Amino acid sequence: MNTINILLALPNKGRLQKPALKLLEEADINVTTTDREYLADTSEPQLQIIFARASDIPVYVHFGATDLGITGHDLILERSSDVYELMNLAFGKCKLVLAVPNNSEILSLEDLPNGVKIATEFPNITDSYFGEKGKKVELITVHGATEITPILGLADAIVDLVSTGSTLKSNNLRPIETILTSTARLVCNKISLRTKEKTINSIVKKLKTKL
Amino acid sequence: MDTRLQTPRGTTDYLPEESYKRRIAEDSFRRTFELWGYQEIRTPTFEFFQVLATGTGAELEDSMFKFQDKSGRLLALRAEMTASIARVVGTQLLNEPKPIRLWYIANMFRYDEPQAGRQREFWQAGVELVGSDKIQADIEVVALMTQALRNICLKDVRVDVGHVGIFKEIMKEARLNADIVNAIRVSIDKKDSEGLEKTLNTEQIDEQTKQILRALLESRGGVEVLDKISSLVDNQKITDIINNLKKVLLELQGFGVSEEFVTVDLGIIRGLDYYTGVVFEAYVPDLGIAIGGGGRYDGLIGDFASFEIPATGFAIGIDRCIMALEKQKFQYPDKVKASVLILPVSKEMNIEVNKIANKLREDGITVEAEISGWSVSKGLSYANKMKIPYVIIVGEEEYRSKAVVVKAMSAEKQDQVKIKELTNFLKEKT
Repeated sequence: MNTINILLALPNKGRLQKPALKLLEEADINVTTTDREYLADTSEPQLQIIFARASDIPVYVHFGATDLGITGHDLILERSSDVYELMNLAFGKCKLVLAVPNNSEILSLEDLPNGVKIATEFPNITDSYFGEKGKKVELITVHGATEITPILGLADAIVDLVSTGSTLKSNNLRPIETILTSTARLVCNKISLRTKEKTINSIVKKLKTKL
Repeated sequence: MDTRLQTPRGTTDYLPEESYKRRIAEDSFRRTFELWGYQEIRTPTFEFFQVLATGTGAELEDSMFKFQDKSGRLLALRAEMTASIARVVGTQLLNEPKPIRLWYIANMFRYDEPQAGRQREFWQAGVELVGSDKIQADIEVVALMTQALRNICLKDVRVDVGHVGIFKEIMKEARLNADIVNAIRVSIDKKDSEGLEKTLNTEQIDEQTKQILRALLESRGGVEVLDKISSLVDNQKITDIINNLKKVLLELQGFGVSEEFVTVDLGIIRGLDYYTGVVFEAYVPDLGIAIGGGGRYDGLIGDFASFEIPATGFAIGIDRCIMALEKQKFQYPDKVKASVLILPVSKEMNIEVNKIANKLREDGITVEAEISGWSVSKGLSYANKMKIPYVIIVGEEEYRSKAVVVKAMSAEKQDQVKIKELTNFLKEKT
């Protein structure tokens, strides 16, 4: 009972999952098989892994449901989770951009009319971004396929993640503003780092040698 | 949504079981605060927004429940207690002998997304120690917070201690613009060393300042952490702060808070703007969020008065304490339900029943009186369900000989007891 165990949350799917598992593998932390669906042991006796949605991982870590997590910087900001960002893992690089249809008259942020409709999966970041810029916008929160909302006439512009830009292109959208750039991070619960410092630092050290 | 049947998001009904847990913690906090010479203060649940927004910063202002009075003045529900107490001190207690020691247990309101450990209405227990700028005042409140948490039976209570003055002083010397200061602050708060490097590399910052900032981000530990910062700086104010923090570590031991429970973390930059000196947070390893925190605010009372009065204090999140106790599998003492149910054999005996019940209550025995017109057997089955250990049955015949029947529910056994001996009889049993 007194051995210090560390629980690490990894994305259960999506673009961050494979590189996250690869990073662990390269650091000689092997995920051993498990009969449980979402929980796995590792070759490190003190480290267990739990698989969760990348967008929920900041919340898990904030409240100490898990000690560590690997998730995107964008998602940490969107969930406004108060966590330590111990490592920039460099993979999962992407930008959150404001994009408009190719044929739109809007060429820059200044052209946005008041009350413009913006669809996004990132309502909190988008809201505070336009708040800071002093622009009044109408947010439409969607959960995926944001890029089709202008075609359907639901939105005048979108705020969405791009990694290569091909999705935007194929939907006749062009980016006019970068709101933030993001990469995957190793995040840590603020109490866990205090109470399990040695064990967490040894894991961080292992990962750091592989970056 | 049928609003008749629900409460607003982020509010909770505490049923007797939950209220009981909170009552135990609150009683304990009250006893501890009183034993340290603190006195209770109560302030309005809602006040003028301008009062509550004094010194608290934009984030907290945004999350306040705001509304207007009939003349259009902006009011708000309190989101924390310190601004209200600063107003009271600054307007009504200026001439009181100092130090003034105050405690409160009160509900607070924040219009945030409800989440584990933070409802929109939540309860805090806290103290304010007003009128001393000495480090001994800081030490007292840290020690009191630790003791208060230990007294509610939390195990392994730990405290992290920092000081906002070090960061402020370094930033003042470096003369950076506010955006850069904020970027550095966020990086240190997140322990994001790469983010910090990025900011440091793009700005004209001298090598010494860079080293100190890196050290602040890494600074967690004991005296050695303070010595390291000390070796990097050449600033009398910071040297004084570090010597004071050393005193905190040393003197807390006198309060039974030994080194293993206290950590220096100069990266603690607490969310409220009004802090000016020593800041601290309490936590237990079993819960992933801090359960209490506080610090020194020497400028805030001055916002309500013509001169400044130094002060320090803390607030403990009561709901978080309950969560932590549950994680630690704390066994609450059995809830005292009624120890006696008193029943008349017939309704002619009602007056006698009430007389006996009142006498027992005066003697400190918890008594439920039968009010539903039940038969004795129905009363017994109620006592059985409610786990009331004794039933007093008042019958005419026994009453004529100044006695009643006392039935012990566990033993299937009954005794005839003289009314004047009833209290002693029951006290011996319970």
